[in-house]
Amino acid sequence: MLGIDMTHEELLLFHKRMCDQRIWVAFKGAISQGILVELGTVVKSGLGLDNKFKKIFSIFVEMTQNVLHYSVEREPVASNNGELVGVGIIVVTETTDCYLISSGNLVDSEQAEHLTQYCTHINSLNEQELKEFYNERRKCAAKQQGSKGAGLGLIDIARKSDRPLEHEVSRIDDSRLFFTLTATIEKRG
Amino acid sequence: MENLFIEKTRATPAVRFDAASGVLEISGESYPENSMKFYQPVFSWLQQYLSETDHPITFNFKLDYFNTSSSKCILNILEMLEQAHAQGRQISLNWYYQEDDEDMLESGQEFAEDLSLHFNFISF
Repeated sequence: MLGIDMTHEELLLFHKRMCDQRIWVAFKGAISQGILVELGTVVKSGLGLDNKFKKIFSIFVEMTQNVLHYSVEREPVASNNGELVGVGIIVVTETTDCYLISSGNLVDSEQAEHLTQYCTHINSLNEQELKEFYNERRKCAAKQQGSKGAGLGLIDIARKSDRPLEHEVSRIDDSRLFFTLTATIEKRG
Repeated sequence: MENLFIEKTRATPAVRFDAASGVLEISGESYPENSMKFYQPVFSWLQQYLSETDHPITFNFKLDYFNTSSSKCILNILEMLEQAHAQGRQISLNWYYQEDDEDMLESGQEFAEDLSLHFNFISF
């Protein structure tokens, strides 16, 4: 059901913008595992089967699961017996020369600082260093069975992305910031 | 010992561990919400199988896709197999990848680099 503010004209404009920007998937809300799987199917079906498209799917899954697990904005979902899941936005778009996979969600100050440092560090590493960093972190994480990811997702996203991770935070209020992340897959090559 | 059979779902792989034949296979896609929770029964079964039997093992990884948290669990399984192998267990490890899927081949090679187990890479 549409809100009363979404008039016919606004909806038409919204639709046109989504078409013009070649937005394959845009979702804002509580991201349950069920939603992730459904959106993932949309991402997959819009793609082919070659490696590039598997990379896009893979980046999509890691980003979406990061929002699910770590967003500080949380909502209960009925399909998960009321379990709280992260709220955020996830967008997959296409430009003339690349595919962009982006996510955004609320974080606290500590997470914002950690994520910024972590992404900056990841962006400073070359391919070989990223590989070593990934395998080292994975080995540690496999030992501590409690940890969900140990930042492996972000390293994996960076390894698959053709350009450095684009990351930014902006303050929303005293305790919360909005963190966005974009990975790029180039069409050629 | 009983077999461990888990049906695949859209985000979790099929697990077919046949105790009598020693053929253990994980196939499909793996990106559960909570990988540790999904793989816990797999770890427990394997631990018990390794300690209570001395059958040769053929382990088949036939995955089309796995996320990073599943990757940690796969490493756990490989480390269990490595340890058993070091103690004299006969283990044959097959890593299947789709012919054009270089990423899946590379993922297997990266596991192999850090382990003393021999990997057979098989395209399908």
